[in-house]
Order: sequence, then C-alpha cells, then structure tokens
Amino acid sequence: MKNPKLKNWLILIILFAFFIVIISNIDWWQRALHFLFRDIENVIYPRVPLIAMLGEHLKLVIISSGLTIITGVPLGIWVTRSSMRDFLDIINNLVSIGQTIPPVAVLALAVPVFGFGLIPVVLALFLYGLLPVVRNTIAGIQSIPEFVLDSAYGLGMSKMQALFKIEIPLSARLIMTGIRISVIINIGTAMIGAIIGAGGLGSAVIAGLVQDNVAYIMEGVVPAAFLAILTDRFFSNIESIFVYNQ
Amino acid sequence: MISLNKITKVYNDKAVVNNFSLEVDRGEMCVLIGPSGCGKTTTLRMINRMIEPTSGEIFIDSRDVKKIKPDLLRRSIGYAIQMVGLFPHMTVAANIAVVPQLLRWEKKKIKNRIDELLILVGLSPAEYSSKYPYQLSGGEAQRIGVARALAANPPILLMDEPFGAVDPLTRTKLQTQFLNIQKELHKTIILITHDLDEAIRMADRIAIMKDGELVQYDTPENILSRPYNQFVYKFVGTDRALKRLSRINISKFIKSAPSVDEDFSMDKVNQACEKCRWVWVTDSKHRLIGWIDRKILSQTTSIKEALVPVSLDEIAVTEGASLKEVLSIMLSSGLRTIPVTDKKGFLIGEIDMSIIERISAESINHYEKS
Amino acid sequence: MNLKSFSPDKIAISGCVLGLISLFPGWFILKPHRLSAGMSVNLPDSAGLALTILVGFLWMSCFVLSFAGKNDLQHAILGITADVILIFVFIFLSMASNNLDVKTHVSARVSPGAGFWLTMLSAYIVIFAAEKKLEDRLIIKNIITWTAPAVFLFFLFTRNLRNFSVVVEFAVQRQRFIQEFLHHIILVAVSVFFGSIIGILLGILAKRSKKARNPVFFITDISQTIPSLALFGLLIAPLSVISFKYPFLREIGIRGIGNAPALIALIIYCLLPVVRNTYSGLAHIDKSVIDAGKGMGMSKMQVFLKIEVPLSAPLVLEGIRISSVQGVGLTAVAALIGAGGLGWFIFQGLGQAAPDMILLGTIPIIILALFTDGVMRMIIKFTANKVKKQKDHNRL
Repeated sequence: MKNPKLKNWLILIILFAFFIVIISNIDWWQRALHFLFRDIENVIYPRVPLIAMLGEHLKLVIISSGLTIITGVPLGIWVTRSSMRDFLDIINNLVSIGQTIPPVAVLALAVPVFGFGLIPVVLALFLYGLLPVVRNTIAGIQSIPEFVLDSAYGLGMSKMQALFKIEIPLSARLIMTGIRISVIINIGTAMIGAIIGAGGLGSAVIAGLVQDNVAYIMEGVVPAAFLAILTDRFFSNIESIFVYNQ
Repeated sequence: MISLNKITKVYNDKAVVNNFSLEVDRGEMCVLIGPSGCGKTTTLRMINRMIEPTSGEIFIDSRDVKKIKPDLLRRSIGYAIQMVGLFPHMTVAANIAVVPQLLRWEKKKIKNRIDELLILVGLSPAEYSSKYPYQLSGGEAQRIGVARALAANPPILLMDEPFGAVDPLTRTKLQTQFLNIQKELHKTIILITHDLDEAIRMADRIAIMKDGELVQYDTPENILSRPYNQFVYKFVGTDRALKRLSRINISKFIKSAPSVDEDFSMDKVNQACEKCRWVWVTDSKHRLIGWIDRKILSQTTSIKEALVPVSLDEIAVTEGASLKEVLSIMLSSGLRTIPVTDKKGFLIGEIDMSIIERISAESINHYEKS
Repeated sequence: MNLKSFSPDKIAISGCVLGLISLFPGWFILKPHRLSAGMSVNLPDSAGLALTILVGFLWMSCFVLSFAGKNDLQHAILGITADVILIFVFIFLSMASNNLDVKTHVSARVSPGAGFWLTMLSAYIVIFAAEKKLEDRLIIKNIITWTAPAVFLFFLFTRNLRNFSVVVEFAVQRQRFIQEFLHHIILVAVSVFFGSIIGILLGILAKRSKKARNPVFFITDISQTIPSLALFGLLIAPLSVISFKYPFLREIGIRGIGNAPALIALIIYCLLPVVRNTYSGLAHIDKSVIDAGKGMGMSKMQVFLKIEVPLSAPLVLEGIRISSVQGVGLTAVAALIGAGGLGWFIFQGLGQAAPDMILLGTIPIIILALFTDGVMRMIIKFTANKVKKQKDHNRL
C-alpha cells in the first residue's frame, strides 16, 4: 500500500524537475524549435519570455483556484448542514446546469459583464471552477454513511467536532477530486484568457495563430500540457492519501 | 439510575413512542425488544438526546437530561450501534480514544486505557491497535465498537443491536463475552434487540414494546411464564417452555453422583453399585471417562472390561450450563440422567430428567390457566 | 391554526426577496450602436412606475404564498405568479426595444442589465421551489416550466424583440450565423460519432484484455487533462509538417489549422468518458447473467449482442452524453484554430470588443449544450427503462 504511493510521488518529482529544467533553458527551446521548424526564422515568442508567461499563467490559476477553494469548499459544507437542507437541491440543480455550460462560454460572458483584462478572467475562472468543487464537496459529505455520523454524535462530539474530525476527513478524497478537476479546467481555460488580455501561456499560442508561426504555438502549448499533467498527477497523489479502505 | 417518565415522541402527527415509562436500576441490563417499528430505537436515542421527546421527562441519577448539554451528556453515556460506525479514517486505537480525547485525558492514560479495553474485549493490543476498520472482521469491529463505547468508563451503556450484524456463531460468542464483561463492570445497560433468545440470555429485565407502548416489563422468567397478554404470548412463541429452561442454571439441581476410580478393586465397585443401577468411572485425576452398568458388572471380571467409555461432549454438561442444554443432551444421547463436569472434565455430579419435568410442570403457565 | 403544517418555504422566500431587490438596479442598457458603452436605464424609467409597482406587488404575493402556502393549489399559484413575472420581464424587454429611437441609428439596440438578469434568476428560484413542492403533478409542472420560454419565443418571432441587442446582431449576420451554427453542429456530431465508435471499441478492448487496460486508460486520462487549446496547438505542428510534405493532403483540406486538427482533437477528447463508461458498463454486468446466457447455449457473439450490449447500453450512452456536452463547448475553442463554428462569433467579438457579437456566439452554444444534455438524458432514461423492463421480464 505504501510503496506505490511513494513511487507516484517520485515520478512526479522527476517530471517536475524535468519540467523546470526545460522551462529555464530557453536555448534548448530555441535549438529544438529551430530543428523542428527550419523554415521559421523567429522561433521564440519575442514579446514575453517563456518563464514570465508561465508565471502569469500560474498567477491566474493560483488566484482563481485559490478563491474557488476557499469559497467553494465552505459553500459545499454549508449547504449540507441540516439547517440548510432546503437549499441543497437548488444549489445542486444550479451546479449541474452550470456544469453543462462550456467554460469558454462563461469566459466569453465575462467580457460583456466585466470587460477586458485580468479581473474578468479571474472572475470567470473562479465562478466556473466553483462548480466541481461545490458539487464534489456536497457529494463527499453525503457519501458518509449515516451510522458513522450517528456514532460520532452518539459518542458526544459537538457539531463542529463531528465536522472537523469526521466529515471533512472522510469527504477529503472527493473534495480533492473536485479541486483537481477545477484546477485542470482553470489551467485550460486560462489559456483562452490570453485573448481577453490576461496574459499567460495562451499569449504565445494566440500570437502564433495570428502570425501563422507554429513555433510560437509550440512554445505556449507544450509547457501548458506539461503543467496540466503535472498538476493532475500532483492532486491525484494527494487524493490517494485520503483513501481509507484498501 | 435511568428513569423515563411518560415519554412521547410524535412524528408527522403520529406517536412513535407513546406515554412510555421505564425504570432501570443501577448495574442492571434492560433489554428492549419488540417488532420492528415499535419505537425501541427512538426510545433509546431519546435517552442520550439524539432525539428530543415531544413530551415527558428522562432522568439519569435523578438529573433531568434536558438540563445537561447534549455533547456532555453523551460523553458520559456509552453508545454502540448495530452498524458499529467505526471511523474509517482512524485506527482502532484512535477510534477507541475518541471519547477520552474529547474529555481531554492525558495521552499516557489514554494509551493505557486502549490496551486495557482491547484486552477486555479479547483482542491483542499489539496486533489490533494500529489496524484500520476495513481490516477487521464483522465480529472484531463490533468488539471494537463495544470497547469504544466503554472507553471513558461511562456508568451507562446504550446499545442498539450491538451484535446484530454478525453470523449466529460469532453472535453467541460476543454475547458470552459481553456477559462476562458485564459481570466484571456492572454497567447500567439498555440494549435493543429483535432476537428473543438474545434478550432472554442477556437481560436482567426485558421490556417488550409494541406500537410505541410498553407492553410488559419483567424478568425473563416471568415474561416466559406469565406473559401479560395475547401479544406477549405470541411474541414469546410456542417454544417458551424451552426458552425458559435456557434461563435456568443447573447448579441448584446437581445431585451427588455415585462414582468409582478406574483403579478400584471389583469389590469396591460392587459395593458402590449396590444401591444404584450404574456408576460413573473416573480416572486417577477424577476426570470422567465412562460408566458401568450393574448388570454387566456381574458378568465381568475387571473394571476395564465392564467400562463403557464416553465422550464428554456427547453426554456431559458443564457446570455453567442451562437446563435447556441438559435437555438437549438427554434427548440426543437417550439418557435420563447425565453427568455434570467442570470445564476440565472433573466429575461434579449428575442431573436427572425428573428435574426438568418438575420445573416444566411448575411453569405450566399462568396465561394458559387464566 | 395547526402549527405543524405551517412551514415557510425558505427557498421561495429568498427568491422573492432577491426579486424585490432586483427591481432597483439598472434593467436595460441602451446603445446607439454595437461598440458604444451605452446608457443604463432602470425599470420605472423604462416601463413606467405603474408597471414597476405591479411587478413589486406580484413579488409580494409570491412572498405571502411562499410563507403560508400549504396545499398544491397554492404552490401552483406561486409557480404561475413567477411565470407571470417572467412574462412581464419579456414585455418590458420588448417595450424597451420598441421605445428605442431607431430612426437616428440603424443598429441601435437594447441590452439586458443586472436588474433583468437578477429578476430572471429570482423567478427561476421561485419556480424551482414551487415545482419541488408540487412533486408528482407533472402536467401543472410542465405548464409552469414551459410558459415563460414559449412566451419568449412568441415575442421573438413576432419581432417584438427586434431591437434586443443579440437579435440586432443576428439580423446583421444572419447568413454567417446559420452557416457557423450548422458547422458547429456538424463538427460536434462527426467528432462524437467517430469518438464514440473508437471509444466503445477501446472500452471493449480494455475489458477483454488486461494488458491493454492500463495503456488505454493512461492515454485517455492524459489526453483529457491536456488543455483544449494546447491539444489543438499540439496537432497543428505535425499536421502542417505532414501536409507540406504531401501536398495532396492540403488539397483535401488537411492542414495545420482548420477542420483537420479540430476534428482529431475533438475525437480524442471524446474518448475518455466513452471508454470509461463502456468499460464499467461491461464490468458491472452480473457474471451470473452471462453464465445463464452461455448455459442456454448462446454463442460468444450472441452473449455479447443479446446480453452485454443491452445491459451496458445506459452507461455507454451516459459516456456519450458527457462527450457530446463537452464537445459542444470544445468545438467553440476550435474556432481559434480556424475550424469555424459558433466560437467564431465569440473570438471575433472578443477581437472587436463587441459584446453583442460575443453573446451571439455564446447564447446558442449554451442552449445547444443544455439541449444536447436534455436530449441525451431522455434517450438514456428511455434505454434504461427498456433494460429494466427486460430484466423484470426475464425474472418472470
């Protein structure tokens, strides 16, 4: 049980180190891209260095996902409290309708409502990211068998103690899954945010598409794919910490 | 100790528990039993305020439970349920430590208490402390559930079918073990079951419920021999005479048994046999090994030749047994008199079918007469 | 009065409070043309004080009903009142767009503002609450649900909303819209079709061969993780290299950008949900059922077609539903790499800073996604019922 977990973390660390090495050596990029696309003269997106684009991208995702997590998890917990039972259905309903709406649509809608720039993108990512987090928090808490909570209260835990000692630890795995899905969607949608002026790895892609420069596209696309996979693995590994039945 | 005074609980205009009163004395085990939906679980949960009664009062040691904060009240009452409800993310040790930790015991004290409790429920602390609930069998989980309920040494235990979710064999073992624990600890216990045999076996007093009301509250013997009305009569079933026998310990009815040592001379054996039709034969350590019929004795020259060897399991009962077990062995072995031994096989005495006949005749019950 | 049956509906009440509050912020934004910032107008100025008070009164009656509503009739009246409010909202929209001075500006338009959207949300909340209380009264529930959309469509087709911003934008680009709309649907349909076929085959493969299982899930898992734009981008390079090497490919439309990379990426995204659900659909079939089939003398093929396919169908269809809904959204992104579709309006609108054009792309995409979801759910329900009936039948 312990060993495969350790192996997964090791793989992640190696991949991460590899990612850092690639990202920080712009020369390698240049040489590789030159080798692949011989007829393109300018292979490196000149406006913003790769590291800076990655930084902008991370900033975007961390701010929006951070907001998502600190509001989504408490919101999900809140609506599962017995006093809020009436609102649970409507929140579930809104969330499942919301998840049917494509993330691009939410991003696009942010513009007529909030205008261009960083803030609308962060808000759109935040709002859309809430859906899987809230949904999975609710699902996680509802997945706890009633008799487990029954014995928690029966042993004399207060509502707060039962929440922090029983409900949150037991729903942690599903909550983490929600967070992972949310962050992955945000990494992807943030790329499109470049069009609205939020910067990030999407800028190189958009520039590449506009100027018909495949090398620019690669410069944005490869690190983004890498980032998404790394993040996905990272959260998956965290999720497996909270598996209690095998 | 625990006193329920005219408790009523109404759900959707329907009284699930209706005007229910019950007194349980200190150190007594009261078993609540009744058909499903009769309100027994609701009643139990009102005692530790998991459910609030619509009307009526509950006192513990003459303190009104309504005046005690629910969390604090529950920490002073052990609680074990059929589904056990062990916390899957905590080890066995952490599960047992829940209430002591809520009560802020010292770490050292908690650690000692965990070991003590694991030994009490018959599990090795070294092996089980660090296991997780998913690694336990059903019976083990229920024992841990009981240990957890006992953790902070509460004077009262509430148990909702605590041995419900295991196979019959394990259940009997758990019951025996729990009875032994209770002999040692003398808790005040209210236990719910739907298994009448369990109730008869465990209870000091049985409370039979129907449609939220108390029908009869009495000792198992009286429930069996004097069912209050048609409902109890039917609930107890046509085998109540047998069930009653299972409540009666044989110790009062053991007669001294004629016995000879296998090394005795034939004279001595003949002498011992004069007054009775047979004698039991024991080895040098007074362990039962067989019996000798007087008729055969006259035709043989040595004890060894005359001895009919026996297997203890087939014809003997041990001293703690009930009359029901005696009857069962008599029927299967075809003997009207069987020997009683202690756990190690030493002959203590014998017991005769006439006892059972007498007891049964005494208890031709009240209800049928009236 | 019996206190026990007195249960104020918290959801409906909060909807009513929100509804009353939303009478105050700006309802409409009037713009002389596409790019201007526009002027915010509140409800009394736009629809007149009398009608505003009337809507306020309707909200108050909703409030009373949700506070004291006890029987189905009162719940139904609550839902219908919310419907009436929605109808008023559309009337206001139509009034605002009719009152607009269109003579001075040909492309003058009216956009809904915060008050409008909040009122819609509040009415939805109240309708939801009312329908929840009505439980199994299907006819009245359907009436409450569909009245407002029907009235909206009526206004739309009677050209009462002709100055509604999105409608104006549509009128300007009617041809292009129809073309991109169809293109969008075709892209989704083609990619879901091929994605489902490949996905189902891979799912069967994963179930049949233990060796294939891990690689199949590994690859589909990873491809689902990669951002959509990144996957589109990753396909551009190899496709453009190949298409330059083999010019005939260019002639049949396979290039670095355009439909080819879009379709490939969409198909890849389609795979994971279908593969996963096919696999678990097959894995969850009770072994005894298959044994029974074999015992009755079915061949392997017959067991597959008569037992495995129908029993796993609902789960497989669920996978296809997820893929299709996801595909509607991802296809919008495909417009960025020149594949067209409704995303074209979004990105053109973003490029030109024209909000109404963004909406012209976004609103149909959302409707399309919700519609696909609804239709697929109906199909799944239908097949699931059929499977269930068959099972019951077999049991007899």
